[in-house]
Amino acid sequence: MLMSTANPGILPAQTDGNDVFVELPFMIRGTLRYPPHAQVDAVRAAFDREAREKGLSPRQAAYLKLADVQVLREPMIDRARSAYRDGFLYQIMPLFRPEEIGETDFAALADELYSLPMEGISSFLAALSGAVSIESEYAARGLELSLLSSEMPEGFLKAAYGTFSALLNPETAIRMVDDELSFLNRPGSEYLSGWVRTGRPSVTGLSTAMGPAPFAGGTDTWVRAMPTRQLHITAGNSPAVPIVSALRAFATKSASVIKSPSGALIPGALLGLAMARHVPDHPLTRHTSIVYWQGGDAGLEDVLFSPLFFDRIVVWGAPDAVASVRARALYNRVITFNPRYGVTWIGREAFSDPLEEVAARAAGDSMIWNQKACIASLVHYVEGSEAQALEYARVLSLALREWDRQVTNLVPPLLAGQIRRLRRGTLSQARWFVNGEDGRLGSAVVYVPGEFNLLDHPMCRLVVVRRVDVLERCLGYLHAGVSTVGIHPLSRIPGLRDRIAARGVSNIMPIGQHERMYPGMPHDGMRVLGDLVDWKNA
Amino acid sequence: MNPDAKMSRLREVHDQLREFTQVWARKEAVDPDAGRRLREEVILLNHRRYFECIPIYRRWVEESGQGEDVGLETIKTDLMSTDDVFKSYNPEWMDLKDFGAMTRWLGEIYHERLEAPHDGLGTVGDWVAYLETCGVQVLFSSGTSGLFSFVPRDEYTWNSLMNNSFNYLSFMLLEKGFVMGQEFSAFVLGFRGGRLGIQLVGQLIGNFAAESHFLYETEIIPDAIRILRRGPKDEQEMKLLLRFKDLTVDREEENYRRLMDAMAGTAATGRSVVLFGAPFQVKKMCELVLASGRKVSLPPQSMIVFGGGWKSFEGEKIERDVLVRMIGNTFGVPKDLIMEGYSMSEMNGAFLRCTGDRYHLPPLIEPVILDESLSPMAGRDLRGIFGFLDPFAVSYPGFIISGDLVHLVDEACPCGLSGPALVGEVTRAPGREVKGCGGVMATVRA
Repeated sequence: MLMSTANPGILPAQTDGNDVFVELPFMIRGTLRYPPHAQVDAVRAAFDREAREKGLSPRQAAYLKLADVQVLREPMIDRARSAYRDGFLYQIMPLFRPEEIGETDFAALADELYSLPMEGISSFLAALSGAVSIESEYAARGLELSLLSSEMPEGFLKAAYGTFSALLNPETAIRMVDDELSFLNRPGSEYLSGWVRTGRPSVTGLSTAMGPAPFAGGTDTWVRAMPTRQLHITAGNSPAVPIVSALRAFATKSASVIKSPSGALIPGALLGLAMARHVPDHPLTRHTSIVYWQGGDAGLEDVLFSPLFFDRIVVWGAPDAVASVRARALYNRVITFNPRYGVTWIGREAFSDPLEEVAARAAGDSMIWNQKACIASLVHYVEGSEAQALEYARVLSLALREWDRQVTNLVPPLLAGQIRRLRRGTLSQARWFVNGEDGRLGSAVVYVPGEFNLLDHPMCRLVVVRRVDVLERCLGYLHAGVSTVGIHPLSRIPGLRDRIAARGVSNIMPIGQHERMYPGMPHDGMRVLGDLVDWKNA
Repeated sequence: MNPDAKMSRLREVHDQLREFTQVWARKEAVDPDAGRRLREEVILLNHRRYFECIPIYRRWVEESGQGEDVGLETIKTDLMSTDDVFKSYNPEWMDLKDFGAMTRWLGEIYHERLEAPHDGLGTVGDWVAYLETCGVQVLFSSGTSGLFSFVPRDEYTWNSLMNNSFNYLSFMLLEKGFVMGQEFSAFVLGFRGGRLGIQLVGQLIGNFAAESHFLYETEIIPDAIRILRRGPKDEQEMKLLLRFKDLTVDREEENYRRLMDAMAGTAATGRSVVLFGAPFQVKKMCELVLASGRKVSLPPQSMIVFGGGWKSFEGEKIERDVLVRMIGNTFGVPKDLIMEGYSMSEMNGAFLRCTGDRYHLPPLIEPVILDESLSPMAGRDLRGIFGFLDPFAVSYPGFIISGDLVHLVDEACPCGLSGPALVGEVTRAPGREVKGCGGVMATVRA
C-alpha cells in the first residue's frame, strides 16, 4: 500500500490491509513527543465501535481520543478516479495536558527568548528553511503521506511543500519585522530587539500638573515591541497556513503553540521534527509547541483560553470556530482571520481587449489554492449584455480547461455531490460550461442570471458568472466577508477603489493579481505582526 | 405507446400499487418482487412521459447521453434531480413580481405548457390562484434559505397526494386502535387554508373530522411568509407583514389557549380528538396545559400526530422519547397513539414511525440511498442521503434527491411490517455546512 520512496524513518507508518497507520509526533516546548505504539487492530475496532454506537457511517467516525493516544482518520483517496478508495489513513498522535504547553515562567521568557537578538531569529530560520526545502527528506515524506488522504490536488500539494522553505526565509522574515513593526521612522527589528528611545518631547500629564507639587521637566520616553505568548489555531484550507502562523510567532520571538488543523496535520508534525533535529536547543524551539486536539475539547480549551497561558489567540477558520473562541477567551486578545472570499469585476472594456487573455488572468484568481483560499475569486461579475456574459463564461471555461491540463483537479466525492446538487437543483436552469474527461469533473463555469447563494459554492474550480449593467451595481454585493476584488481594466480601479474599500474589502487588485504579496503586506486589514507584539512604554 | 395509452396504463398500475400497499399495511404476506415490478413499470412509464413532456427532464436525459429507453438503474444513476429544482427560478422575479417569468419557469418542470398570465399579478398568492385556473395545484414550502419551492401538480397527481397516504395509513391506524371513520374533532397547530407544505396535512386531517379547530383560523399568506424571512421592502409590504403578525405571532399565546380550551371542552363531551402539529408546537401545547394546572385528559381513541422536524426551533429540541412521555403525561394518550410522520412537499405519500421506532416506506415509493457524491448505493443496510422515485408524480419530475441523511434497512420489523424502513433520526445531509477559512458566511447572496 505505502510504497515509500521517501525516508520512512521520518513519520514512520505501518500498512495493515487497506489501512495506513502513521505516528505523528508533537513538539511540546522543545521536546518531541511520539504517541505510544498503538495496536492497529484495537484502533480500528475502536472506530468501528464508535460508528456503531453513534449510528455513524464509517467515514463520519473521524476522531477518537483513547486512553493514551488520539487518532484522526481520513478516508484514502484514489486520485486517478477522484473517489474514495478502500481504507483509511489513521494519524496517531500523543496526548498532552494544557499545562505542558502553557508558558508561565516569565523570567525564562524575558531572559532567554524575548532578549534573543535578531541574528538569533535569522540563524534559526536559516537552519529550518534549509531543512524543509522541497528537495529535503521531510518534504518528500510529507508529500507522500499527504497524497494518501488530502483532498488538495497533487499539483497544489507539491507547491505547498515547495513554499515552506521560502516562507521560512530569514531575510524575508526580517524585512517583515522591519516593515510591520516600523515606528517613528525606525525599523521594526530595533523595537523587537530592545527598548528604543523615541526622542519625542513629552508632557508629564494634566493631573500631575494640577497637583500640589508640580515638577517640571520631561524625561526620555522609550518604546519596545514586546514578544507575546501566542496560541495559533490554524485552518487546513492550505497546508501552508500552519507554517505561516509559526513564522509569525518565530519572527516576533514569541512563545507559541501552533494547533495544526485536521486535514493538514503532517506539515506541523514535520516542522516540529525539523526543529528538534536541526535547531534543538534554540530558545524558539524550547518555547514552541505544535499539537492537535479536537476543537471543542472543553477539558483543554477551558484552560488554554483562560488568560493564564496566552497573551494572543490567533484563529483562522470557520465562523463557528471563531465565535466559539471569542466567546470563551474573554480576557485574551483574539486576532481572527475570518472566512472570506474574492470576486472579480470585468468591465465592458474586456470585449474590446483580447477576451482570452482577460479570462486567463481572471481564471488564475479563481485558482488560488484550488479556490480554497480566502482571496480566491468565486464569482465573476461581467458588465455587458447577456450574450457578452455568456461569451465570457465560455472563454473562461476554456481558460480553466488549460488549468485542468496543467494541474489536474481532484474533486472530492462530497464536492462532486454538491456540484451535482447545483446542476440538478438550484442552478438547473442556469447555463453550464463543464470541463472534464472520462466522466470526471475538472472545472466548470456557470452563468447564473439571478442572485446566487454563496453557501452553495463548492469552492473547487467552479466559477459563477453574473451579468450586471454597470460594475457599480456590484457594490451592493460587497461586505467585510469579501477579501479581494479583482478589476479589469486597470483604468476602472481608481474610480472604484475607495468605494470598494469603504465596504470592508481588504484588497483591490488588477485581475490576475489576487495573490500578489510582499513581506509585511497587510493581511485582512491588519498589520498582523504589529498586533502580535505588545507595544510597551518606558 | 401513445400518450393516452401510457396514461391509461399508468392509472392501472397505480391502482394495483395502491391495492398492493393496502395488503402490506394490513401486514399480510406480500411478495416484495411483485411490488418492485409494479413500481419499476410505472417509473419507466413516467420516465418516457417526462422525456416527452417536461422540458428540463428532457435536457437532463440528453445531457446524460440517454434516451427514451432506459432502465431503473440509469434513472437512479443519471436522471435524479434534487428537491432544489423546485426553487430553481431567479429570485429577482419574485421581487419584480414578474409572474410571467415565474410561469415560464414552472412550465419547464411541468408536463404541460403553461400560458403566462396576461395581467400583472400583485402577489405570490395571486399567482398561485392563477395557476389553479390553469389546472395546476401548487404546493409551496419555505426552506431555511428563505426561497420558496413550488411543486406543480395536475389534478391527477394532486389527487394522489390527497389520497395515497390515507389509503394505507388508515389500516396502520386501525391496528393502533384509531378508526378513521369514527367521529372525532381535529385540532391543528397550523393554518386553516393555504398550500404551505406540512400545513396541508393538518387541513387533510381537518377534512375527515366532524369539527376542526386551527391555531390560525385563516389562510396562510405566502407573501407574508416571504416578507417575514427577508424583511419588508416598502410600506405596502410592511402593512402586510404587520397584518399577518397581528393574526399570528402577536396572538400566538391567545390562539394556543383558545385551542386548549376547545380541546378541554371536546374532551368533556367524550368525543375523541386528533391533535396535529410540528414537534415544537406540540411541545408548546403540552407546556401550556401543564402550566395552566388544568387536566386535559383526552378520551379513548384520541391520537396525537407530529411531524416536520424542529427546523429553526432546534434550540427547543428535546429527545423524541421525552416528548412522547410529555404528551402522554399531559393528555393521557397511550404511547401507541402518539405518532410521528415524515414526508416532503415533493412526495405523494407519507411514512409513519412504528412501535419499533422505524419510518416504514410504503411500497408506493422506491427508495434510493445515495453516497456523498450522490451516487446510488446498493444494500439492505445503508446510511446515506435519502432519495426516492415517486411513481405517482405524473406532472413533475418525481425522481428526487432530498437533503436528508438517513439510515435505511430492508428487513422484517418487530412491528410486523416488512420492506425498507428508516431507522433512528433523520438529519441534514453533509455539504450544507459553512466551510473553512476560504469558506463563506451562510446565506450571503452574490
